[in-house]
Amino acid sequence: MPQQCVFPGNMTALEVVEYLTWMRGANSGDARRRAAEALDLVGLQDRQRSRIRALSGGMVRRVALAQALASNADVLVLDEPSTGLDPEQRRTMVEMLGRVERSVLLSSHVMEDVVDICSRVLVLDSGRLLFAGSTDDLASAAPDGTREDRRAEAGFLRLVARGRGLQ
Amino acid sequence: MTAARVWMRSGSARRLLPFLVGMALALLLLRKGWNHEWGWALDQAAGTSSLLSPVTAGLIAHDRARAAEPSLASLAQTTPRGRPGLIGVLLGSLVWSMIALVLVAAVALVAAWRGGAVWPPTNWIALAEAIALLFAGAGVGFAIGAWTRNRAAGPLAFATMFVLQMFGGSLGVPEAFRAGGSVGTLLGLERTVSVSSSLIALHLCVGLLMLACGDAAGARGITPLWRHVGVWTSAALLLLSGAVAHRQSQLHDPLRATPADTCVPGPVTVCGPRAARPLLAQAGKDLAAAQARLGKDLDWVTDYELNRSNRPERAGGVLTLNPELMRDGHLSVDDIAATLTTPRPCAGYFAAAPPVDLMAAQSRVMEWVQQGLAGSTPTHATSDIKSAYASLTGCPVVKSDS
Repeated sequence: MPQQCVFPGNMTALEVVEYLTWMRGANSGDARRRAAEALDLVGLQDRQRSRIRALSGGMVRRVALAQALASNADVLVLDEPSTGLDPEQRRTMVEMLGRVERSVLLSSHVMEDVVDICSRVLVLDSGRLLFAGSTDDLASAAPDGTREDRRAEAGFLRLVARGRGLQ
Repeated sequence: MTAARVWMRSGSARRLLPFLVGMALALLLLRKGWNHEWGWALDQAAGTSSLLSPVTAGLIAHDRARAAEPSLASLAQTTPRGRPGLIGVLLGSLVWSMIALVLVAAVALVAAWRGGAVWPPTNWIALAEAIALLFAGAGVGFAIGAWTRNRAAGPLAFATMFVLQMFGGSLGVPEAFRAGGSVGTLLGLERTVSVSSSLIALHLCVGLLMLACGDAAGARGITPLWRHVGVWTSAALLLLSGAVAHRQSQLHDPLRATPADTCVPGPVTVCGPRAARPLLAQAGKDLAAAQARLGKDLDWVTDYELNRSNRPERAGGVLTLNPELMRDGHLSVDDIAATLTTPRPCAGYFAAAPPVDLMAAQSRVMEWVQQGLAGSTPTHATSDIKSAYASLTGCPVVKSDS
């Protein structure tokens, strides 16, 4: 799932997902069925026939997620999936990803997403691996006295600063 | 094919179909007279491709440029069917353009049927020419859309196809980027099949080559399949262009006259191609009425034939029949006068030097005929008119071996 999701405005949500699923090798019948299922999974079952231009930014990102889900790939690679989403939409997406029974490789600067979605974290800075471990390990890198809900972010910032020789 | 179906539903051509059909119908209905013969009707319907083809190119270029939006473009390059999937853009709009063409052809055929045209239609190949031209336009639009990738793609492709239609013939291949659209009647004329076939092949090659170029422009490299398509269609294009240029004389004359193969007997017998039988019958009645009105001062010829130049050695007059000049189903006064004053296919008409005496005699008789048909009372022919008519009926005709 790319970070920027721009689809032709005239296509319906179902057509976008069906078309991209077919491009990935599914036959026509399968592509349509999987597209409908994926849109159900992301909560767009009522908007399948809506044109992309009629959908909100959050809905378009859910369409983008649906096309990734419909691919039947073993690993989903999601690039900043919550970009542009309001808190409610973000919460929905996190819950959705929690239901996905596949490996998810998530790229994000939003530590809240990382904590909510991921079980294992890699911190990269300019191509260098700074950290590999669980979200709890990441949180433990935070300075003492950090608020509980900010510990992952504080840990991330500390790791990066350390990696850049600033600490 | 899913891609074609999706692009048929979401492409620009679907929304513009009524506009496409409306424009093409307007172009068709602007011209008169074609509804008396199937060949001309089909030819006129095919001629609307001069408008449909640039519009198709523009719409496909617009949709192809739109498909280059980041998400689709990146997925198209990284998925097994990504590149074939983009060809759906072309197919989606091409199908709608073909539907527009077929609808226009259907209207033309209904008009011809109501106009009394004689079954069967004879000029189907003009429609094949038009479809091949639409495909060429689609290919040009696809390539320009893949190359341009912005809002200018549509107008640029439209203009490119339009310019190709205007000036394609001056590139050495007559009738290139054109299909159908004869401005005159096709009574007794047929499209030369070899010329039409060459043009169809040429336009299909252009379309395929442009499709290959569009695919290469939109991707990181050209696939072996498209490389073969590019090489073979380029070679075919060169060969076809060479062949077409070599047969320039034939291509400058893409219509072939067929001999008169049917006659409608009556007080005035009129012969011509079978497709024109209802018109011939009406012409016979109108000529007989005109002769009756003008009186018996002149010894009228009562046997006329359309396309007599095809076999001028036969005696009898030359029928002039312009369907577009007919009013209320009757021959125009000008056509009646021209026919009555050409009672014999004189050799002078086919000579290198202008037949000054013949034309002067014809002019004198024609003036009298027109006055007689226009006036309320017939006027008697003077000796000058009689002598002029006698010179027209007494002239030597061309021999069959000449």
